[in-house]
Amino acid sequence: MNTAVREKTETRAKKKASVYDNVTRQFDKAADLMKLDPEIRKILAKTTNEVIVHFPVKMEDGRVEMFTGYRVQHNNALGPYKGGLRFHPAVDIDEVRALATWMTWKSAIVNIPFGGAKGGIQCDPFKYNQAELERITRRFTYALGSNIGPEYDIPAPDVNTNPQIMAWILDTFLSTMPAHERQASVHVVTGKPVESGGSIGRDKATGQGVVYTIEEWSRDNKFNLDGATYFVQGYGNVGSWASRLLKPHGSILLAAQDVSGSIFNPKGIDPDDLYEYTQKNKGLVGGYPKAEPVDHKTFLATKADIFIPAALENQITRETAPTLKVKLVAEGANGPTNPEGDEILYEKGISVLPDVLCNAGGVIVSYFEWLQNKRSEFWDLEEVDTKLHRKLVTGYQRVRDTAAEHKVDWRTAAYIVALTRLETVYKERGIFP
Amino acid sequence: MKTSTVKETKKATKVEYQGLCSTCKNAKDCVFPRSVEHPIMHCDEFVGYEGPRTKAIPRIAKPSSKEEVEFKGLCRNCENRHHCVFPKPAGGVWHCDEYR
Repeated sequence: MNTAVREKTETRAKKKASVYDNVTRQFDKAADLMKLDPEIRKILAKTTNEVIVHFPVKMEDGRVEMFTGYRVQHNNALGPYKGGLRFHPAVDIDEVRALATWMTWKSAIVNIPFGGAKGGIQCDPFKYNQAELERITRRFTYALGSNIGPEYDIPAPDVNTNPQIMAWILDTFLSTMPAHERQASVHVVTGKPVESGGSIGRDKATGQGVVYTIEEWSRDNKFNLDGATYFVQGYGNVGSWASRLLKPHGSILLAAQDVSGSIFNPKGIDPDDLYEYTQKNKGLVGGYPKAEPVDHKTFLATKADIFIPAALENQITRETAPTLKVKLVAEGANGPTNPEGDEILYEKGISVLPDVLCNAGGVIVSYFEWLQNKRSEFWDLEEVDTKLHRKLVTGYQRVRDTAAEHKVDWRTAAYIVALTRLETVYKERGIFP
Repeated sequence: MKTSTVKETKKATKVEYQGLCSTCKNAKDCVFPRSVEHPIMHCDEFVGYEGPRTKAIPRIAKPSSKEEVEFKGLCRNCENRHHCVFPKPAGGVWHCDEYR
């Protein structure tokens, strides 16, 4: 094997290890602590179905291009498979497998009747025009056939997919159904445009969920959010919504960071004003005139009450966790804290609202969309918010009580909640035959 | 020799991230700490798709003559079409009491 090939193979092996690592380490820790039935552990350690489809699509210039699409269904003991579809060159079976497994835990923690799935197409959608993208999406949907369905497996938007793509999936799927069954199948995808059956409130759902869980934590800890200080990593959908929704509480945003850099103002930054600025500045916080730029190290060392990581993975690690000077980390992003970082936060007595609970607002409102379609209802924003609040508070309380009962960190407690639900269902239903 | 060294140094320091970063528009200037050994799978700051790169392809075939482009629906052969001042919808006029 030549050096280049060996390096490529090693990189790929490392990638596989890290992808699986993230998902399985937490599962193993919780399964050991709660003494999960070893037979059920065997079941949950494997995915149920893995569909790989290769399909041709005719391009605008007359060429035919072959695409590879995936749909991995991890578990449906608690309800139909549910999870996003991403269009990205890095999509492969290992990544999709890991993400599908994660979806099972996420749904189980907040007690929504869904299982876990994930899928996607290995492609860079930016290379194609809209007509080609539509054909790729429709042909993929057709290739998946009955592997998705409103009561079986419900896709949703993810990286590089959006409400328009969900509308194409919906239309293609319905076109393959008998005419009299079409109206009853609108809930085959969630994250649709509102006019096509989407739910109001989906855009702010994840940020809103972050704020609801922070509110609960504050109540439990007799902590006043009025005047509380916080800083946020990531000022995209989650970070900006969470900040704007904390403003009415009187909380003060001290610093924000995105891909363009970090900004800091000891007197506070107005989240609405910052959001307006980003809208005129390619979505970036860099150059915001009412705050000063700071480096990454200074940003993380901001002395505040709350830190909201709302960008990407592995930001709180063995190196960075010791620098945090906060009381609470509210994880708006997926996987912002690695296991080593987690241990340090626990030792330092910093509370953590784990991602699987804290950012579950999005998947919960997806469930609401599915329910509204099933019942031919259209809820207003107040109803969506009220139900989201109730669902998240119940999830929060369950995780809090489990953490106290098992004397573990909240992330492990969240996994214990999920695994307990799955274990109970398997024990009640038994294994066929 | 000097040029070659500079090139080599540049090559050596070039970091290629996997996962979402591989197609993220912000990857080049991104300040978030990342590791080449840990491909990013979730990132709320990911920007790779801003709609179609090229203009949308018209769904309807272009009309063959100039007349067809200018006048749609009833207007196509209406006597008043050249001096009519009514605002017209893009899809053409299909009901008009002034049609001649």
